[in-house]
Amino acid sequence: MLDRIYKLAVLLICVLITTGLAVEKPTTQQKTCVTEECHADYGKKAHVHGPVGLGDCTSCHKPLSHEEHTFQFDRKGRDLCEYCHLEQTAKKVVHEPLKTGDCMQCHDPHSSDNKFLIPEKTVAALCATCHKVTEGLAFLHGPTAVGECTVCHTSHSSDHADLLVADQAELCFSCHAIMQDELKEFDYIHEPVKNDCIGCHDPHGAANSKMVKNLAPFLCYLCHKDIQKIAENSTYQHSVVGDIEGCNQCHTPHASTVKFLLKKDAKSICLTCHDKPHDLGQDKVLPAFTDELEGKEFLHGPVAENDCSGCHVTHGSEYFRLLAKEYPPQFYAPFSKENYELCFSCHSENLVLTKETSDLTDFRNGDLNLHYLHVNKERRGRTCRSCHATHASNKPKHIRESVPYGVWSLPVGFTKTQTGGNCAPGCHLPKDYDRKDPVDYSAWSTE
Amino acid sequence: MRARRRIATYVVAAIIIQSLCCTVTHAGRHAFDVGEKLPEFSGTTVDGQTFTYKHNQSNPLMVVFLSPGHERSSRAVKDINDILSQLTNAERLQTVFATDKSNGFDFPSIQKRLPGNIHVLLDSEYKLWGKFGIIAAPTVVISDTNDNVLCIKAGHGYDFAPVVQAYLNQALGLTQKKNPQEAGRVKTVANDTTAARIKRHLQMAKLLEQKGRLESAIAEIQKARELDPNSIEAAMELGELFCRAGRNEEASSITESLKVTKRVDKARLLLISGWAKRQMGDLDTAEKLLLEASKIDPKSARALFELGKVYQSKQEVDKAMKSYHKALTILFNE
Repeated sequence: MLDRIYKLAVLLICVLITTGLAVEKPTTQQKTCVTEECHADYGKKAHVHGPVGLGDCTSCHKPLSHEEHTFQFDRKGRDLCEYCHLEQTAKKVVHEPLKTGDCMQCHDPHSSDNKFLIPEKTVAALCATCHKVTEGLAFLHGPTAVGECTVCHTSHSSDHADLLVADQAELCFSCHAIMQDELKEFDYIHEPVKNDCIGCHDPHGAANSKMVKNLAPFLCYLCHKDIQKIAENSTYQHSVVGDIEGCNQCHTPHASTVKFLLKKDAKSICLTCHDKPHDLGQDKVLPAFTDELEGKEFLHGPVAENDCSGCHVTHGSEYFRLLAKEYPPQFYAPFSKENYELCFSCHSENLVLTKETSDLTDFRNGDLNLHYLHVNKERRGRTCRSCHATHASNKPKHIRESVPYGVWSLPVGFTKTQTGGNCAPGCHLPKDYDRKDPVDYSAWSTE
Repeated sequence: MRARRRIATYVVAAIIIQSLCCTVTHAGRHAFDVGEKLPEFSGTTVDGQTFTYKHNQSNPLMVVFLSPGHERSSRAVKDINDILSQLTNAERLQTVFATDKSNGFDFPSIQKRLPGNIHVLLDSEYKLWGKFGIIAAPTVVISDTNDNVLCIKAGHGYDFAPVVQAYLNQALGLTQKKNPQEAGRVKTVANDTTAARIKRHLQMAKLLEQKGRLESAIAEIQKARELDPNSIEAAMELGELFCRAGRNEEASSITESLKVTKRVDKARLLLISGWAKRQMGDLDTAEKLLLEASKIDPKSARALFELGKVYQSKQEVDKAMKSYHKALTILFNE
């Protein structure tokens, strides 16, 4: 019982205190609303809205009845703020809350402890209440990481999509200035670099380093579908192409001084892997390319030009060793133009179609074209590889030192002279040829 | 003794020359090498005219050997067309396309752009090919105004266009940044170098500073300094930002630890020190430092502005006004 009386007494005291301390609403027109007694908090925070600071509440609030202390907004919707802050919505793209006149979603109309009268401590924290763009991302863009959304976005309105402060490419280059300066020096620029950085990078952040939207080759395949098709469907596939970040082994993503956005000259790129033997499976080994070149004096044209793509395709091929076109792998092959498509992509097919020539080749006896004689045969035509090393050799015209014939290695024994040369191969008896003073072959059989 | 030494020198020289010669590699054979005279020649064009190349005409020449139906030849023609369309003084260049078949390329459109300068020779007998020792298409040979061969470019690789472009520029005597011998050297954008990353942090700091986010700007510059603690530019920027943020002790500490050699850097260092001292109330030291900064770099508006503030604080109104006026004159480029 006593306990109940005690509780009632406490309640009574509380009621008396609150009614005693409570300020009655004024019933007459006041000079200002922000006084020590009324709405005192509005003027005490670090940042105060101009009219509040001036005590000019009627800039926004119009009294309806002084007696009842009722008010209404002086203007409706966004007009209320736009009456003073006109320039904030003047541009083409307007932030959604502004469109609906909901300025108070981001700003406290009276005062705040934060700059710009925002309810959160930072702009980033405020943006994040709606735009959760960085959740779970391992790699954040610099401005996002430090919560400076307004480095790229304007808060109210913009002439650019996504409320960007400038045109997208221009905006990226405003910080990545060194890149823009550098790009002027390059003739070969990846198309998205010119105006679509966000084609590859997520401007807020990503799960991948450099904020790329996905890793190569998946990112690259979004545009380069033709390459994807070759890489995935070719009979002979280049393993590196399908590797994660494989594309970046050979290509640079932004700009290069040479075609195909290569990172280095083609040969150096190839040698980053092909400087050592590669196991092809089934007891087959691809020899180290460097071994084939080491100490060699005479290089095949494309090798000399550092351009392996003269003969090989890099993403995938229908021909063995990723060759660009048909090239017989064996020693003998019946001649047909189609068998030599690879060689004929640089060398004239007339080299083996013309029986006599005075200019097309130096490998002739008088005008008798010895290429024609060796290669252009219905049955046992010698393929190019029978005499020429495909990459390099120490003999002129990159002629082989020896020819593999079954398990044997037959020496070619080629010697060049001023006007011709001679061969002492295992294939036939030693023979000379001379362009100026032709050797008489009449004693020899045609084969 | 001297004779022995001389013999030894000769032997060493011979060994070096031999070793150099042994490392030289050859791609194939041409009838001439770079630096030699291009042989004179003549031939019949596809429209039945005779084209003759003779020495001492003072015109650079480009001879392009092509085979219709070859993909690489087609790509070379396209590149050459692009190069010619952008080439300064292209009318001084004579271009000969030597093709073994009569059709396959759109030469008329190239000829239309440079009438009289583009000659298409039909060389189905490979006479010119043989004379020049050309065995593969495309091959481009470029000679200069003295008829000397500048370049023999065989095939159509990744570097075809930049190399041909560079040697044509050289043949025409056009100034260019790149040495033609280095035109095929591959360079890529180096945006992930430390220098590039520092520059980005500094750039972002500037943007943040413009937006009044001094603490964020300071954080950005500190990132730049972490990448390169010896970066003078980053240190200077940080010093100025500390001043702007009123972190005078920290600004002073930077200036004390920094060693600069350039005059402009010295002036900036003095400005930061003077600025910090002014804000710390040491007006005499500030005046001395800022006067020195203005002396070294009379174009520093900020030094003059700070000096004005010092004088204003010292109630020296005339000096303050004069200093502010000078600063404004510099700012408005008057």
